[in-house]
Amino acid sequence: MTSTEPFNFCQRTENVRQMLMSSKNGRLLMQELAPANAVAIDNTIDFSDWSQWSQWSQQQ
Amino acid sequence: MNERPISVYRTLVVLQPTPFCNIDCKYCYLPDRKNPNTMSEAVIERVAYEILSSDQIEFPMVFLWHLGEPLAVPRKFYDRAFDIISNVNKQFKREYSHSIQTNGTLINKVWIDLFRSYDVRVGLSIDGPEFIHDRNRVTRGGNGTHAEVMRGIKLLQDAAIPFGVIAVLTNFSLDYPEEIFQFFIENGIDDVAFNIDEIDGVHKVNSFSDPTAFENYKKFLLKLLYLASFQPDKFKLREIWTNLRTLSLGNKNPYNTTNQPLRIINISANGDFSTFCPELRAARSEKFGNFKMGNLVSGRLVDIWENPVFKLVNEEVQRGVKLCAEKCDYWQFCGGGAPSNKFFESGRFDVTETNTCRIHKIATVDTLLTYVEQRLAPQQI
Repeated sequence: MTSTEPFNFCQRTENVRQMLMSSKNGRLLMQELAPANAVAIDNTIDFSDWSQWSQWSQQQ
Repeated sequence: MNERPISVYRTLVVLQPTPFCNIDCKYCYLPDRKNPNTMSEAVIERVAYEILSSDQIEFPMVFLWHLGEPLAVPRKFYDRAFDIISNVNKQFKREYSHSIQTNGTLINKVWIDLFRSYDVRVGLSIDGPEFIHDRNRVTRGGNGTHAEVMRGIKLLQDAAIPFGVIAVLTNFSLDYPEEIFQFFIENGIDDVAFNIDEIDGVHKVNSFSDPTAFENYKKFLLKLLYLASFQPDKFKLREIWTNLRTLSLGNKNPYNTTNQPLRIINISANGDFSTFCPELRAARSEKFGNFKMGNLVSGRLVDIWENPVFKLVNEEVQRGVKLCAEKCDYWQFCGGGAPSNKFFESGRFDVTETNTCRIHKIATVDTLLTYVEQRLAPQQI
């Protein structure tokens, strides 16, 4: 499957990644979308890693 | 023997206390929901020994009681089962937890006490407001179950027991993002995962096969994200934040527990077991039979590596994962998709794109990208 989006998917995700990671607003948006600590119901999520990620993102 | 994959993901052991379910959801994939058999103490003890003694499993792991309605057995079933598992574990000292995925209709104070006593994590299924939920989640007499589920939710909330929700979306639901969002907000439900109506097991039709579903799903999700932005910290959607992590950090080695051996182990009430998606326990195939990969009463977990059904399935599943890695732009978000979706949609595992991929993964990631761009791009100028 290639993206249904109008331009190169890899370039687009990289652009969005930069938006998220390189500005205060990006990090605030990540915190808005992500739970401080999530409840696992199907165990497909690595919560220990998420917790590290969450701490890391808040420290940046 | 295969090398164990390097992973920090917890192994999920899905246990079937009974195949029976007290309700009759229209999209359910399980075939044997009138069967009242229960897992015997002998089976539980063998399962506990095989799992807790195993060097094939990443600990800590989770026992998830599911594959039927887990609260359709008496409370004493779990008192006994948890004690058996705990006693077996005295010699192995493994870390594990118990989780229950329930339709919520049978929750009462007895169950609340069980959840609290054993620190059981609770997952509950509710599809949103009554007019959506009751279209599909019905009794055998065809009556809706929303009111019963809400009684269960109230009991959980009164007891301050955290729970996550799985809401199954059909194409019908996509016209009602405001109603669905308001329902979860008004009822204090902040941890939501959307599953989509998909072809699985005995469920042979899929409302998302409509060609408009892809765009409708994206519109639905985008609307929901904007609604949630006005209620920060009151609504978190699994589909969004799991993909957000990959989006923000990248993921060169994506890992999908549903397509890797022994990351999910599904054990029927009689001790039959399989690996990969739990939905495959409901599958039948000329090539793979009933997907049984062993029995933990008469055999060992480790025997799976020599089981002919496992070998056939695994070989084809891994071919499919390799194809996904080679061909799909969304590989880093997905890790190769769920074998059950591939099998139920095409009859094979060595394929790539499924309708479920298109909706549940591709449309979701596209929507997340759009949302971040719309929220942040103007501020970058």
